[in-house]
Amino acid sequence: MGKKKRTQVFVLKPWCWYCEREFEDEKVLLQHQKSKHFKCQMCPRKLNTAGGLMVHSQQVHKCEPEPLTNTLPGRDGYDIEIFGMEGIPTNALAEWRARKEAEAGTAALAATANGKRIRHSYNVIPEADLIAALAQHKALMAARNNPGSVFPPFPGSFPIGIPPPNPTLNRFPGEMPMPPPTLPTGMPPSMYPPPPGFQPPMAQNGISGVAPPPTFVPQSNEATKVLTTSDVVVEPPKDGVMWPDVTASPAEKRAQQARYRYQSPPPGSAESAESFEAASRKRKAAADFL
Amino acid sequence: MLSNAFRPASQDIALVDPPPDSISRIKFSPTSNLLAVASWDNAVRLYQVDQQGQSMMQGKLSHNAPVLDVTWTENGSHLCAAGCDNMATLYDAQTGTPQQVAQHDAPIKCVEFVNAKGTNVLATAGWDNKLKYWDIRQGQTPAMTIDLGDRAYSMDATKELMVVATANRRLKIIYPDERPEMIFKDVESPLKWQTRVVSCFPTGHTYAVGSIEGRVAIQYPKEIDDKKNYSFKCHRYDIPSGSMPGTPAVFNTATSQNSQNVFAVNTITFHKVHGTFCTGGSDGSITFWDGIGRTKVKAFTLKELNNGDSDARPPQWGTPVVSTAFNHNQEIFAYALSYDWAKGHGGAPPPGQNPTKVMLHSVKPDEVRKKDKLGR
Repeated sequence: MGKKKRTQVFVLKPWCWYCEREFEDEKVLLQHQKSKHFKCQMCPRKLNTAGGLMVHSQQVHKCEPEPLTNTLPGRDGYDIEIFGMEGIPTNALAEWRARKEAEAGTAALAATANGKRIRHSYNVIPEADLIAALAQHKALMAARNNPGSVFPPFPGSFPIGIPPPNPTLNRFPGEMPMPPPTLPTGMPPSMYPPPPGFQPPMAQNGISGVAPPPTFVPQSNEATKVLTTSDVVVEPPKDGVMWPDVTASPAEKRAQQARYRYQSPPPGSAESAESFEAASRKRKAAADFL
Repeated sequence: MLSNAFRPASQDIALVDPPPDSISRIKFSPTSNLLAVASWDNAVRLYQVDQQGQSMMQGKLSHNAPVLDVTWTENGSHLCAAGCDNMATLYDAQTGTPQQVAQHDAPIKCVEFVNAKGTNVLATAGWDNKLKYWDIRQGQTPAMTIDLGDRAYSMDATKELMVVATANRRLKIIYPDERPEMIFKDVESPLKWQTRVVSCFPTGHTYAVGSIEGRVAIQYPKEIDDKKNYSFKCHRYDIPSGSMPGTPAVFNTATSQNSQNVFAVNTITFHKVHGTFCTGGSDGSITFWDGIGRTKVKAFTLKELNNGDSDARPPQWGTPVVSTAFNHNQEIFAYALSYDWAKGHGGAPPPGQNPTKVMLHSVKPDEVRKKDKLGR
């Protein structure tokens, strides 16, 4: 009975040529253009058009204006005078209309295919979803390549941001030669840390979550000597925070890397000159060995 | 003079011959346009720069291990560098003659010259949980040792106030001209995440703390009521979820995913004349703030600095800003871009590719001056 006519009138929303953003109202569009594109970089003044901004720069600040801000590449020029929807080049307008109509068309097609109307048209897949899907896929592939491994895929366990291509990501508990330095020394070998993708649910509660107890062992000469590069584990971003490790700073982790580590001179010889000699002797020996 | 001419930040000039590895700290001489650049490739480099952005490497001071911090004496004649070789070395700025002045049991993270009861001493703080004062004329034994209780991460000192930030979010407040031997106050950081940087206001009664979670707190340690203390967020970006550019995502309770990318505040540097400060983030942007008026003075976005693009999809983050510095007359602003190890070994730039840069920006008064009530 009450089936709606599907041939709805296609309405083109006001849009900004500079950044291709759509607006509900022409007034809002004008406000947007003033504040985003036609704002003077040197004083708080906002102008109505690109030409106005150019004249303002030349007369008030006595300098050539900077390219327009916040625009798409190639649309930061002063040659086109645009005020709201007026002045947009006709070919660009036609192109935009065709694009919007195509989008509306495909949306309508998709709606008929599903048998129901859709409410939103997303032309870009959200990044968070993409990243989650990627993480899930990676975990799946890793599990397939190592059927014996115990760790199941963790869908969406890399919350936000791109997980760092850490070499330790692809390692599994069974292959780990020794516990990483971030573990207390008394830990039994069965208690290896979960794979880096895993996060305890508690820690996901955001910033206010209780921080895990510090397990960082302050560096002594003995501790630093046994480390190798790959033993230094850095956690992937969590809750969008790029350095979620509460136990050590990036500089500390970095200083543990083999290439940055400093071999302190043997006890008893605190003189820097001696340590210089020791270092040069060591290098010589290594060169002979090669 | 160049500050009158119009030059946008995207045309800032890079220092010639930058270090081949990450920079840990840059600092201008307090008397001349000599810039010291400490880096992870075991060296401190000295550059002579000028207002036009011209630069020339004047010397390279080699260390045995990565250099974590560098500071200048008050008269600019010497500079002191310290790092992973557990010691601090004093160099003559003209001749480069080295002299070991301090020794710790672990890498030294921070060095600073402090005026302790009228005498100028060197303060060093390291990952061996110790803060030590050294009289540089006396030599090898520390004048005083204070137990910090945790590894030192950042330190800053003015004439009246000295603050040491350590691991586990502790802040030690010391008044060097009154009681340098005593930690006056040992407070927990007002921020919930690891402290990255601490910096004192030039007035000496206030300090700013920056954390890894894109947040800065302004603290007044001497005030009785803590109503003046506050904190603010910065160096964060909404993760767009919808189809329209610029629409922020909502907090997704199902996956408990946050809607923002949050970057560390790597550096806080004060403008000595206007009292404003700038924060440099791991995202690669720089923002100038008025800490007293609680306003943003000027933001340099990634695009404006020609260092990535936060609006792109996916966003292209810039090279992190690791250290910033004003020269002695506050007319040149230098900022160091390099990898800050936020993504660990895997995030390090591949060999042969060196993103490390030091950019020289000619400061415009509008960028650093406090705004009046009309916002001008």
